[in-house]
Amino acid sequence: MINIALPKGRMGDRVYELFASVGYRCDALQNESRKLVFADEANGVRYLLIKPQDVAVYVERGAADIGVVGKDVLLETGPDVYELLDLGLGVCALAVAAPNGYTEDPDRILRVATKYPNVARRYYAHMNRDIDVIKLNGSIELAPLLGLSDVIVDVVETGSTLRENNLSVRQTIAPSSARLIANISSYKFKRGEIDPMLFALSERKG
Amino acid sequence: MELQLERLHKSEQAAYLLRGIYEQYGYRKYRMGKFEEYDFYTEHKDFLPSGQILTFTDLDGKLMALKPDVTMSIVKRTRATKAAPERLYYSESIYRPSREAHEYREIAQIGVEYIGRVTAHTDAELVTLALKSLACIEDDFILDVSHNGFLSGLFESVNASREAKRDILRCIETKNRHELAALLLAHGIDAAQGESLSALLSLGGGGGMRDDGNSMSGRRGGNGGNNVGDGNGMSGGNGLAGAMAEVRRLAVNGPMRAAADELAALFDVFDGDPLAKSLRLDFSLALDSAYYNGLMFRGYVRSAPRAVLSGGRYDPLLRRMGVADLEAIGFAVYLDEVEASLPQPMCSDCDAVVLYPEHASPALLRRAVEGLITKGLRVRAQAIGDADGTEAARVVYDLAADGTLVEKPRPYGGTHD
Repeated sequence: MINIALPKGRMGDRVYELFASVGYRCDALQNESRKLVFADEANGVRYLLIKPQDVAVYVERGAADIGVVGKDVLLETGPDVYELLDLGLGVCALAVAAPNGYTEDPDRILRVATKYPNVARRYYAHMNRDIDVIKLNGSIELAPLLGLSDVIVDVVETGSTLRENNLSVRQTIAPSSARLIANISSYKFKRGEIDPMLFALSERKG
Repeated sequence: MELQLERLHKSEQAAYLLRGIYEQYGYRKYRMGKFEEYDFYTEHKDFLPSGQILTFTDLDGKLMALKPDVTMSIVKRTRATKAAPERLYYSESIYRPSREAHEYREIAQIGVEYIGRVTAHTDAELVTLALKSLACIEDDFILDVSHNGFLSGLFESVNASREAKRDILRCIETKNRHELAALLLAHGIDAAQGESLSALLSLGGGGGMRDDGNSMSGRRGGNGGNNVGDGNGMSGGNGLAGAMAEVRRLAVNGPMRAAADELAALFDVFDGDPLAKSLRLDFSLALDSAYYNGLMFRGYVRSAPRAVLSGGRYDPLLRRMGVADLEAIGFAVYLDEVEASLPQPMCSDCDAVVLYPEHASPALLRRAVEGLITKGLRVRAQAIGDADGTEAARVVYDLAADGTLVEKPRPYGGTHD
């Protein structure tokens, strides 16, 4: 039995469809329910529905054998897990965005609003740039508009939210998409079950 | 009174059994103080996994540290020579920051160190000890083995910046095939070198020297050799012999060939040994060339999500600490991981409860309790009417007026066996 941590929400639905399409169905999961754990003995899988930011924690600590999580979360939290496959879903980028017309003053400490303080710190440290990180939990685009920050570091998918808020991407930090991760110990002991799944998913993905 | 091993916590059981194993192989217990002068670590900070050290000022004003590492203290005080190696084991607490909790943690470790002249015999002895250590923690275990000389030899041959090599290494550590491919392309790594680096991810040989093909059979189809992406991928079913053939194919320079010879010699020792079914070759073990220079190994048990054992050959540490003419190899077992992950014995503080009336004779009660203790039970005497704490006990007795014990029927029908 493989325990699979799926991110709750739209991305989780897409990931489940991918898993189901290669033989890891769990019909109970498709029925509307408030349950968070769904098992299918015949297919040897147990799906756990977890908040996207917590998937890596469940996997790193072995509560789930494998899981699906965005690369943005992996870059931010740096869990000690194997990153086995890029599922090619939820493609976006971690980027620096600023109000249109903004010109950076290199003589000032840059104020950066973000949900990704570690990513932002690493990125600017690499450029030897002093920053003041302002950790926010949502509506990051609002920060530069209200003068709370100079720029933001956030995930950008189509860029429409940025455009609507008169912001634009200045630098791309890293590409992101959904990744299949595995607990290091689980992968060693359940490799006979995980590898065939990995193979099927990578074939399906093309 | 005999020690009832099964009643101890899992980490206590492991510590007790491990001591026995290490002493069987002639290792001597080494006991040390909890503190070390802080200056000692400032000189060798790069050997510590974290630069953060818990410090305090001693009564004489000297800055002291709670030990973040045991091996360095052992090396500092070693009396080993080439002709007279030291075989030591320790059971100590170390103090390091926890990455998850963002606070210092006391970590219980038990480990062995061999300091002297390291030969193929020593490698085999330490790997045997590591395998036996894992076996006494849990039946289902794996020992991953890697060789730093092989990895550093391969990386020396790769023409790329230091930063690119660091990123490539990170991909190998995390078995990240997709980003490795992108990095090789982005940095224009030569195709043959790229193939060698990618092949490292595929090496997962284990389950013994013989190619029985059954060790990792897949759930679907049971062919156990399903690959991802390339044609020689994530088999793991080839056995160590198959993996070693691949290692020899990849060895393109002196250091890599020497490392391959060392690994082959080690695996030959375990040919046909039941312990070999738990040996794996895995180059995703982090390359830490500041600390390790040869064999590296990391141990896992099924119930623990992280490694419970880690070690290897650490000559660079000796050289840095002025012990230039000696070599060393050792490992530590993380008892805190064992304690946190493995099933613990049933949590009850006694096997039998003797209920006595307030007016009962103390002499009769004492005699009754002693009688049960002699039978090997843990016994608690409790006055009738005291707060009920009998649920966890296997058996409850009433003390009769004549001093005999009358077993009380339990709601679930449990009886003393």
